[in-house]
Amino acid sequence: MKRYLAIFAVALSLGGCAGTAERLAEGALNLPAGVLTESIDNPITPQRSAQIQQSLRVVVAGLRTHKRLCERAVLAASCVDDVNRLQGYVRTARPLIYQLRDFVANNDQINARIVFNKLVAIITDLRRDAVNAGVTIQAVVK
Amino acid sequence: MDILAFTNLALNGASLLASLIEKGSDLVGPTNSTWVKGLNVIKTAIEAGRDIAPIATALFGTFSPGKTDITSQELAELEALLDAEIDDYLTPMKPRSD
Repeated sequence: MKRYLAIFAVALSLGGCAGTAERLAEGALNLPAGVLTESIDNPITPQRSAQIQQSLRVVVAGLRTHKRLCERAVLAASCVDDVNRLQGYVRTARPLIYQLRDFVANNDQINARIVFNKLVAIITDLRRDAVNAGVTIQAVVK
Repeated sequence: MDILAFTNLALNGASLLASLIEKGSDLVGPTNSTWVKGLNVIKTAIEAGRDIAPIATALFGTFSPGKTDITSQELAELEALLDAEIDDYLTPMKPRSD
């Protein structure tokens, strides 16, 4: 498991060098030009819906642990404010999740994408805020 | 990398990475430029929502695909779990013991 986490740490560290590196890689690896760099507007399928909900589960798992530790006074009293603030993101996300499920079930791609993008933005902000508050968010690696 | 892309990497790329690690070859290691370049390529593909199988095969000559589809029952189970976990998280905090 440590080796896996190390690999993911390397992958994460590469997050800021997309673009030029991919174009160079395309040439070096004899891949068709643009295969790694062109944007594709993927449909919001049940699979994509599942992925974003799984993403939220990963974050909420960390938040629940943080909340429990706060309740047990393992963490400093300031954690109460953190929990209250972080709960706000989840309250905002919850109705959007319900909407996304409905839109995907009805294959309403336009509204599904709008809601999907909102959820991605909320989860990204939530994760950033949570990490800054000292919440540990584990990656689910099997 | 945002949380969605990270989770996609963790879930969909894990089997590929695991198979590469288990090969025990000199590909493994952050100082190996081929390995790093390959990881970066795959990461980009995952972030863009592409199928990584053909790219991974082109890069490393092997790919063990993870689960890429989900049944309606599995989706329903996932949604039920998420709902329960969110409900639990949003319950008011218990009084601290200090």
